[in-house]
Amino acid sequence: MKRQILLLAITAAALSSCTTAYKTGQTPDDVYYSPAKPQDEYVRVEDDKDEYRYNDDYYDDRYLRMKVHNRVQWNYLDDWYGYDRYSYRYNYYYGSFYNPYTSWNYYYNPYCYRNNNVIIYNPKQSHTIANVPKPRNFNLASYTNANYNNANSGVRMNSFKPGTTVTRPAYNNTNSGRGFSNTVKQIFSNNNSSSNRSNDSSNPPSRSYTPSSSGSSGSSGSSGSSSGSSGTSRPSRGGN
Amino acid sequence: MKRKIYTIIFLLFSTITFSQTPEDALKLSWFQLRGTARNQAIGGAMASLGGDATANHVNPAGLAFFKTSDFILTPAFRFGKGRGLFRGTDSKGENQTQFNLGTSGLVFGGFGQRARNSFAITVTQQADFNYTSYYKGLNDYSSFAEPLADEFFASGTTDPNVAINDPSVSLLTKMALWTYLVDTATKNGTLNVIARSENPSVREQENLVESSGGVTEVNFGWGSEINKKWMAGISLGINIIKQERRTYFHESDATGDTNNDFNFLTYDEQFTLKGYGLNLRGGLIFRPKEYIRLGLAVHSPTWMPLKESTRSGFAAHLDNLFGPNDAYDSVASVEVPGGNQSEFKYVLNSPTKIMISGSYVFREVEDIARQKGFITADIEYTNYKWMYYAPYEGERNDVTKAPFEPYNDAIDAIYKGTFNFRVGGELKFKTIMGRAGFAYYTSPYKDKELKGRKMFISGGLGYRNKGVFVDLTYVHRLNKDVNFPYRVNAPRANTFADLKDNGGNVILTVGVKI
Repeated sequence: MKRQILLLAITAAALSSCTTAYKTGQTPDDVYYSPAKPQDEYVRVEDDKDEYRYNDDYYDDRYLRMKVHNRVQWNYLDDWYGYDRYSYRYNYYYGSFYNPYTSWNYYYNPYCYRNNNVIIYNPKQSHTIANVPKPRNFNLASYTNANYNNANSGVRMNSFKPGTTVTRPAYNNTNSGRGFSNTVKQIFSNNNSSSNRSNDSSNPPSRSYTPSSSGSSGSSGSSGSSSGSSGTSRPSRGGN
Repeated sequence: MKRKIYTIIFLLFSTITFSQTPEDALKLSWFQLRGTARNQAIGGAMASLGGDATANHVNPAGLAFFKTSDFILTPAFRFGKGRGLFRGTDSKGENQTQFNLGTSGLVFGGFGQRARNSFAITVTQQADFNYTSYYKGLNDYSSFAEPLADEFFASGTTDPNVAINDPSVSLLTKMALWTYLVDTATKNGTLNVIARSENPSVREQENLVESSGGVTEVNFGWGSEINKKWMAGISLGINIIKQERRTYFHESDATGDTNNDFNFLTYDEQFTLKGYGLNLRGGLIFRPKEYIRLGLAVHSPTWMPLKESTRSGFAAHLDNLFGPNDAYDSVASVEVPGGNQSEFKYVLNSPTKIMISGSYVFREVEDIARQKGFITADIEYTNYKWMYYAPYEGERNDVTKAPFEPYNDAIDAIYKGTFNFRVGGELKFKTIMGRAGFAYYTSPYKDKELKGRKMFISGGLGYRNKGVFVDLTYVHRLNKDVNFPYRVNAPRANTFADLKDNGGNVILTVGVKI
């Protein structure tokens, strides 16, 4: 909250520091009609004293000022002011063996081809999720399942008392018959011949294996030790 | 408040993997833009009106109406309370308040030959992820663990320890196996996969989601007056995306039976999403006659490279199944095999939007004393089936795109194209203005039983004089949505909650003509 109050304070300060050209007269409303910005009514004087110039006049002026100050002190820069700056500007050394930028790449950059084209290669690995467990299972069939059950068979939050016997509702929900994609059909047809999941819409599904095979825990809730699997096992329980 | 119900505190470690859903894609695509106070007062309509900085985010051709420059700031304050109806039980959420930002920034008008060009740099909060949803109710039909038992059953093994080490089994199902909530049991000589939370005839379920963050967009736009009748514009949007969401689900035995091997289960998930987005917007405004404006705008999909992480924990209390001293067990996802994977990255593309619009401006003249008002309306079409997930990097081929296909198929199956409507008007009395507006965003869900909508009723006042303008707006929202705590396979039926989000947003825009 303090940050937001600070933001509002900065906002107010920023706005109060703004100057407007419309303190007098009408304030234009751009939604309706906006006239062009009012022009200065006095002679405009070019003021370029703060410009950062790199033209020949600038360098000539500087060279003359330096020479006037001390004729010999800056002799070693005579060559540069005389002609080197033109050479550099027009890429005299660009592409040459002596240019440190290109010669390094030529010999040492492993991604540099011999024609001096520097290639910066960022090797990115392709990323797949095939072996990454998902936090939640994503089942397309459950997303396309348009059967809904949003009413209890007779219990309500405010009237239900623990211990009440509840009869399960006898719903007869059917699929809407909408044309789902082939992926959905494949999911429905991919039945395991050795197992059976009941297709009763009104009761929790029974998930049984036929023929019966040994499981890790019985209905009595005994300790769940591994039956031959390698890797991590769930903790044993009920051993006390 | 609701957290007191939970008697368990999980130790959550960094477990980061792939958990996006079609619902997450919708959250990043189904929202109302936050314009200036003036724009929000007129329902957000801005595809043909122009002359407001919001045009930079809707139809940049509207920037061409600027012949002068503006600097604006739009702070806003949002409040409200959510409600959830779940299987006949109505629950109220907590009050929520939050500062947010409407369109703010700079518009530079009147550049170039005959002052025909305008530029804008504006920022706005596109989507707001600050919300809390809560619902609870009795359920005598299905359990949270039903799809978990189904997944174990379909995994091809009868050994829970094999499934725990199987990378194709989800972390949630592994945690349910770890805590013996989902298990195998021999009944009448037949081995079954069971979910012990299915033992009671009725369960109490509750779901709490606390979310924060949003999508903030910085937009660079250009508008130009081609001639007196035509205006054109284009803009580039850069989105900054961040969401933190915590989901608690609690299911308990409502029968009071202490010998049915189930007392309660709790799932706690912390989800973080970060990334950015890029989009382009272009538009035209045609003025066939003075005072009439017709607009067309197209928004490209927002290309969003995203990085997500999920941390979760699971607990189960199984009455006296393992004796009185070993009834309860909990596990963090990092403890199960595969739970310490690195973070996951992917790309989400939002759908294209197309808008047509019309405005009538009463007295389009320079003298503000003669300007009387305007009415404007937008119709927007978008198709949420156009959202799709894609690989983050590397070559895009059938192999790399394959993991995303089920998600994209689900998006195709459950969402549809929608028309959204925005209408509003203003009455102007020289320096003072009064406004009203309405916006309606229709349901993105293909199934008519799923009621989703966003509806906004708005009104506001404005003052403009001496180079300064101040606009104050109130927007009342009446939003509906649905939430599925879990999903089951047909022919079993899904259950979902109807959510309502009612509240207000007070928006203030302060601007200076520069």
